[in-house]
This record gives sequence, structure tokens and C-alpha cells, in this order.
Amino acid sequence: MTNTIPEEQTSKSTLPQLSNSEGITTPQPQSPGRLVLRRLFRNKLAIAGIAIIGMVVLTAIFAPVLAKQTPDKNGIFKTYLRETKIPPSLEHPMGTDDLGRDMLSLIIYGSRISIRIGFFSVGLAIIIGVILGALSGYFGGAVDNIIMRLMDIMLAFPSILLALVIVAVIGPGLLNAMIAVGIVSIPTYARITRASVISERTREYVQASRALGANSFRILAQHILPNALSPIIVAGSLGIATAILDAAGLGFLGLGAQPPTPEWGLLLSRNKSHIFTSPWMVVFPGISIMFLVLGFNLIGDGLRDALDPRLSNVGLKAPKL
Amino acid sequence: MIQYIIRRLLLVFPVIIGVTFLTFAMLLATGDPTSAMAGEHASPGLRAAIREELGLDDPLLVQYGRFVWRLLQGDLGRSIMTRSPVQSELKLFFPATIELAMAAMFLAILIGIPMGILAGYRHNSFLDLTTTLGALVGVSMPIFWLGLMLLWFFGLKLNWFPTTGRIDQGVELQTITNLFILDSILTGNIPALVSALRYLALPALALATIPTAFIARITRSAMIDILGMDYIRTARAKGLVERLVVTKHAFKNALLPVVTVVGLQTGSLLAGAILTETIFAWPGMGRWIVNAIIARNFPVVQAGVLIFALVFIAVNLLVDISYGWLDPRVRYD
Repeated sequence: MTNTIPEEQTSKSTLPQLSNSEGITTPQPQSPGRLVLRRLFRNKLAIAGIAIIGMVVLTAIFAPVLAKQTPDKNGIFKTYLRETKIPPSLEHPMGTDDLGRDMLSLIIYGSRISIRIGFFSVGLAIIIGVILGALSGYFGGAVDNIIMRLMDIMLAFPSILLALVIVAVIGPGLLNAMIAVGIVSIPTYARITRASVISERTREYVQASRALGANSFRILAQHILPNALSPIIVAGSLGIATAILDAAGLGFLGLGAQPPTPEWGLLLSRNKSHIFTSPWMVVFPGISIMFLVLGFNLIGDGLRDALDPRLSNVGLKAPKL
Repeated sequence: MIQYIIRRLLLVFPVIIGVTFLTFAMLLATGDPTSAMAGEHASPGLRAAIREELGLDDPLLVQYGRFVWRLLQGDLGRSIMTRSPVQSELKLFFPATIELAMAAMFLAILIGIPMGILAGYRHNSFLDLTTTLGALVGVSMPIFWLGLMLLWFFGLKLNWFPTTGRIDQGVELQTITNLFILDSILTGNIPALVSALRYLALPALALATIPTAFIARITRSAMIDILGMDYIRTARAKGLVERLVVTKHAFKNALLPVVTVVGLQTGSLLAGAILTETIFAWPGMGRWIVNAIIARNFPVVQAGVLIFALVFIAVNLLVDISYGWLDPRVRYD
């Protein structure tokens, strides 16, 4: 195969450890993980996604440095009543709101909340979902039936509606909204995990390790669950996108983050009555949400294509294995 | 086929029981409804009377049984705020949501399918790239933000469309189904039809974004898959007009995943309606439920959520059944 040389070149910048033997004509044996990463980094859209997320994460980390105005220790931004509703300018690139607060600063601090929402909700959903799915798939029978019927019931509700109901019961607030959004997506991960557990459970290597005296927990954790990892990663990154959107929706309805949190959905909601006089107060929070969600969607799509090259139709050819 | 349908129906029953139990339990989990009904400072006697009237002191299963029995008779309880039966409010709000959702789905199919076919046909072209990117942006967009932008631009700035409500106050319309479009057509009322369509335009467009994106994406990838098949090459080789190859041979077979996505998206349209209706003050189920949650008016929340879930289940069932009908292999899984 002569197509290894261009592959070398494209992977050099991103995965330097692969390029230490230059000019080789036979590809080195590679771990599946590396192959996936290599495919991912050749997907322009996925790189755009990584760049977006990277940017937002850096913004969140360096918020105190980047933001012109910073909140006090209670998270409250100072108001400047002489500078209300200033249109976007060099000094205030996203304008100011009706309290004279710099929109850009609010949005910079808001990025911390959205990132937290995404990872917390999906993390919660993955932990519970994987445990339920593993139990369900490994033990089968009644356990399986009960867990999976419960998941069916949860899936019978449109997701944001179920989240709304959970928030209605446990009360509004940022943490509760994150929990609600997390609970809603448990079935996705439970189903994925269950499917891979069932397909691996009867394999010979599992029987072998059982014969060697491994207990169920060890078999599940060490041998079976790693097989479920890649679909969970794909679902997880797409899931973060949905979680951020849903939580912003809850914030918009007044059932998620509460003032004075600069959560993007909440900013949109509190600024919406100013849309005619000062549209920038509404435009920028929305663009921010879209930007971050787009980033996670791009990575999710890219990962899916990288993990299953047959599905790839983004215009690049999957490397021959 | 009939066997397949019966099997699917049987699978739905436990889910329906679960859903009704969950909505029933929701009401219990929200605490003592007597304070919401009689106020925080109600006398113990009044509270006891309300508890008696609602049967709140009975065992859980008895209460659940009574709940289901009432449901079967079409009794959804009374709104705490208005004291009127929930189903009479439902009769107004449910058709509004259905009308909105159907209009949005119509738009999504009308835009999404041709876009997907073209993008799939001209794979890797500029058009394909814009469609793919557009679809990605579409699914990433917060629908409430898009709604606000449409409202601002087309409603306030250009003043093309009204921004809130369902129909002009001054227009007379004899309601039959409470689907205003259908009613105005049935009664031959042109001014009402025009007015209702103008009010419907912006919310339907906002709600259509996400399904349009999904439909375009799935149509595109199905077309790409199928245009690479041998029988397409055969059709071309025998000299068939390209238009027929695409429409008759390729698209017909690409339809299967598209139907699934249309069905599944119909379900999520209901969820999208919650946010869209809030922005455009569309008097439908979504806004009704949200307002009820904020006011802690739980009988309304309960009824609304239950109806949403049942519609969602029914739509999913229809998708499953149509899938078995379109692709017989599915039936023997």
C-alpha cells in the first residue's frame, strides 16, 4: 500500500508519536483508539468542533482574565446605570444590557455554566445508565425486564417534557435542572450498554475469564464494558449538545438557572422584552448557545464517522485496515 | 402483518400503565395540594374536607385505581386555578398544538426532502456542503432563540406577520374542530383562513427548523447510499432518463428511513411546541403546561403531560407499524 505517505503527513501535526519512523511503507500495527483519533483528525468538521469546544473551555477557564466586568463573590455583576443599552462598540463588543452590564462579560461567565451543565448532566446519565444497562444485560431475566420497561416508560415522554415534570416536582434551579436533564437521558446509555453487554456476554473470552475465577463485577468492568465505550462516547458528545439545549430551554422558561446567574438561556429570557429596542441583548446569548451546541454536535458526528467508517460520507475515504 | 401489529400493541400496554402511574405519582410527589387550593393559612377543617373530597387519605393503589377509572371515563380532574374541568380547557388547547405541529411538519417535509434529495444527488458539491452545514446549525439552534429572532425580524421590523395569538380578534369564525385552518376551510370563511395562516406562519417556521434539519440529513444519506447501488447503475445503463432514476428508483427506496424520521420527529415536535408556544403566546398545550407548572397547578400539569405522552406513544407505535409494512423483514425480528 502506497497510501501510507499522505496519511503520515496528515497525522504528523496531530499525533506526533506516529511519525517517528519517517518514510516507512508498511503501516505499524496500531491500537484501535489511535486509528479512530487519526480518522477523527482528518475530518475537517470534527476539527472545527474540537476548536469550538476548546475555545469555549478556555474562555470558561480564563473568564476572570478575559471579562471586562467580573462578578463579586456572590456571583453578582455590578450595575452601571449610566451605561445601559449601549449598542455593540469597541468598548462593549456585545453591547450592554438594561442594567449597564457588559454583555460579553456575562456571556463569558455564562460559558462556565453551560459547560458544567453539559458535562454534569451527561456524566450523571452515563453513570446511572451504564450501571442499569450492565445489570440488565448481564443478569437478564426479571432484572432486565424491570429495568428496560422502566426505560421504555421514560422514553415515552418527549425529553424536555420529562425534564420539565422533574423540575416541577423537585423545584426549579440550576442544579435541579441539570439533574432533570441528566435523568432524562439515562435510557440512551442504558440501552447502548445493555446491547453491548448482551453481545459480549457469551463470547469465549468471557467464559475463559469466568473459568479462571473472575467474579461478575470483574468480568463486567474489565472485559465487557470496554466494548460499550465507543458508542457511549459518541452518544455522550451528542448528548452534551442536547443537554445544553434542554437546560437552556428550562432556564428560558424560568425553571432552570435563577437570577443573577448569567446562564445563557436565562439571559435570553430576561432580555427578551428588550428585543425591539436593543436586539443585541438577545442575539448574542442565542448565538453563544448555538456555537457551543454546534461544537459538540460536530465532534459527535465526527466520532461516529471515525468509529464506524462505513457511515462516513463527509467526503474522506476511510483508511484501509 | 396482523400478528406483528398485535405484538407491537401488546408491548405498548405496560408502557401505558407505567406512564399513567408515573403521572399519577407525580401529583403525590408535589406535596399537599390542599395548600394550593385553599391557601397556606387554610383551617385544618377545610383541609380535611378537601382531603376527604379528593380521597387523599386512601391507600395508594386505591387512589391510582380511581385515577385510572376516571381517566377511562374521560375525566381528567379540575384545574386548581379556574376550578373548571381540565378536559374542557384541553378541548381548546390540544387542537391549537396539533395545528401548529402539523403545519411545522408540513413545512419540514416540503423543505427537507427536496433539499436532502438534491444534496444526496450532488454529493460533495457546494450545495451538499451548505445543506449538511445548514442541517447541523439547524439542530444546534435553540428553538426559543430562533423564535425570538423571527418574531423580531418578520414580526416587528418588517411587520409582515402578527407576533402573538392564533387569529385576529375581529375575525368571526365558527369553530367546529378548533383547528382554525380546517374550520375556516369547512365554513368557507376566507378572511378567517388568511388571518389564521398569517398567525400560524412564524411559530410554524420556528418549530419546523429542527425536523427540517433531521429530514434533510436522513434523506441525503439515504440517497447517497442508494445511488451507489447496482440497480441504479443498471437503470442508468439501460438508458433511463436521469429524472426517473432519481425519483422513481432511488427516492422511492430512500423513503423508508425518511418515514421513520418523520414519525419520530412528529413526537419531538410536541416537545418543541412547549418552547415555541411560550414565545408566540400560542394558546396551545405547551404554554398551558408551562403556565401550570409555574403556578403549581398540578392537575393541569398531570393531564397535559399524560396527553403528550400518550400522543407520543401512539406516534411511535404508528412508526413501528409503518416500518413493518414498508420493510417486511422487520416483522420477523
